[in-house]
Amino acid sequence: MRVCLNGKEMDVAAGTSLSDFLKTMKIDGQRVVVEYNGRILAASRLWEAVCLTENDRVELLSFVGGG
Amino acid sequence: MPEEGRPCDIPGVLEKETLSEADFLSLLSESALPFLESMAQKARELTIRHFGRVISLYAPLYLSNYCDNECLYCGFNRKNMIRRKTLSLEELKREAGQIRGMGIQHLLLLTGDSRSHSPLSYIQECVGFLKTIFSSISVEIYPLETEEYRQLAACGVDGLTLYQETYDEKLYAALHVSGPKRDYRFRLEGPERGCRAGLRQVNIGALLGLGDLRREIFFLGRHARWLQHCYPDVETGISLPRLKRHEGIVFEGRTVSDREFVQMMLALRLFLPQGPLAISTREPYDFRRRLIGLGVTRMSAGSSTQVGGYGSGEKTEGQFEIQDKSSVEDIKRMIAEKGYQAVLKDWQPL
Amino acid sequence: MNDPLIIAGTQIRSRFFLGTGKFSSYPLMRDSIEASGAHVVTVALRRIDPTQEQENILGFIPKGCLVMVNTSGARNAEEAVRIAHLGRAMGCGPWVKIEVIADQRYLLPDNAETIKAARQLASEGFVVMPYMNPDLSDAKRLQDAGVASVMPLGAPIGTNKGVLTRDMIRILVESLNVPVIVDAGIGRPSHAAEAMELGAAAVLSNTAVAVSPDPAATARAFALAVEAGRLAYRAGISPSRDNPEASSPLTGFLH
Repeated sequence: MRVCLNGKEMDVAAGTSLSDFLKTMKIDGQRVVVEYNGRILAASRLWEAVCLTENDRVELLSFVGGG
Repeated sequence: MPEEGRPCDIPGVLEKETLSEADFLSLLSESALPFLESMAQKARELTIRHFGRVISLYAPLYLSNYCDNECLYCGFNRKNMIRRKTLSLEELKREAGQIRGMGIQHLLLLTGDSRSHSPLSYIQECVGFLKTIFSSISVEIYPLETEEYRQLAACGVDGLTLYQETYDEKLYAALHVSGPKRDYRFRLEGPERGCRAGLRQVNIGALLGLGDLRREIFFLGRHARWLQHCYPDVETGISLPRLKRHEGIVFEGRTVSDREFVQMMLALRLFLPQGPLAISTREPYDFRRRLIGLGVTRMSAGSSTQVGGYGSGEKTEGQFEIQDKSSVEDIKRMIAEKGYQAVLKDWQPL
Repeated sequence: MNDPLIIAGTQIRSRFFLGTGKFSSYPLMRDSIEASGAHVVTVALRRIDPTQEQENILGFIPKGCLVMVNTSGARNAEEAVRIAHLGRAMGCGPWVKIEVIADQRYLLPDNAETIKAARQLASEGFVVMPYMNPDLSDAKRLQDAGVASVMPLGAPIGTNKGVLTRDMIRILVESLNVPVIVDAGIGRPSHAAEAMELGAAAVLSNTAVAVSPDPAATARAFALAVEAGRLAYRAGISPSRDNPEASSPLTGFLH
């Protein structure tokens, strides 16, 4: 199924949890903030509980240098 | 704050665009006297920059001289056996006609402090009529509550004049023997209530010659700056009436010399570059002429301080002696000769 | 001399704030922070690139620094609020620098959207530090909204032109109760000193430090300039102006 990650479409197996999704992309959960369909999901245990569905929008952000 | 004993750097202060209170104190002190000419040059430049070469003219109209106060420095002291009068609407119309006939458009309405003889309703009635004739009406009456100022603003008053007379609380108590004016705080907070009520302009002042001159001017300047800071949409102006001997004035006071007066005025102009400065006909013609160009922006002209004084009918004694008895035409000519423009109508509330 | 800078109840150790953008490397950024002694540093929030290795910038910011999220990238209030929330979810403290720029040409901030964002974030308990185009009415609105400071630009971002807005900054310093922190346009240490002489509570610089040949040394120079300017301000020195042209004597009649 298709989900949107950081504005780009991606194919993901149905039923994948958010935490598995992050693991497969080798993303360190400590250093990103997750916005799932417009909601901020702060805790990693929430990521385990969320199962991705068709057309979900996921944003992964982290701190970078900025003025 | 400058330490005691350390010389003030007056030229340094004159370089600054915005003066601190410490700078203001320096300009009021004796250290500033040798620099009076430099202060005057800067005051002149600042005044021209903020106001142009323009002097606004206005005239006072006394509605009533009934007063419940016993103030030792005033001719209307209730203990004085003088003729008391409150203008009827008919008499008001005649007075107003005379003043308007001189060309005056800005009117200052005055009463004594008597809510029974000149109640707010009476003042409102007068304003209701007068605003059909004059473009701008200010009042110099007893201090009111905020709601009352709002009512006055609603009926057409755009300005308020209220002098604290002296900022020295102990002296204030001694000078105001009896009557509602004894309430120092209520009077002090009057201009602020006027600001909150939506008046466009407030004018404050001290009666020079009552308390310690430098101290009074310092507190007066601070008061003005504070009002400007808290109510930046209100124009805060200053007047500097000098106590003069007059029939019925008990308090001797202290004579303030012309030199001292000019120093105080220059310091105020430098401390408050955008504040209007008014000089009344308490001061003689020649002196007033000299003050144009030193910071004055408003002058009264053709004045009478008697109730009914403009007409030919019955009139009372004046509140103070008028030293400059020139007509409005004379004053306009004087202003023109100095290279300034006399403005009779500056503003009109829509 | 006791002259602490206290914002939102926190004593700030340095009046030099450093932005962390545009550095050629994170280690250089760290060296600059250390060399300058900056206490408050800003970071931005960006989408990660999942294909790249994630370097953690926070690992290069010395412990004890106060990290303030900058909402750069936001083009309106809603986006700024969103970024602030994201930053807080990341564990960043409640400090947020609101930067709302819709204008991509000059990079000038949108005061109206900034005020909107400030109102909301202040009501949510953020320590709001709004970047703004110096305008007194807008600064007063921000003050009324409960911001912890205002951050007026000295000149457009990246121009390094110095305190072009000096007269407006002076007006803000005189009129506001909250600290005025000059941000943007500070290209040289002397600019920073001037901003402090005007009465600013602090100065933020980023581009000038990050792109200089020796960022750490430049950062230190800035910090020293900020200190010098502050000392001068406290000593009562203010920028001088030209003398008015003398005309004929005005007070001769008094003698």
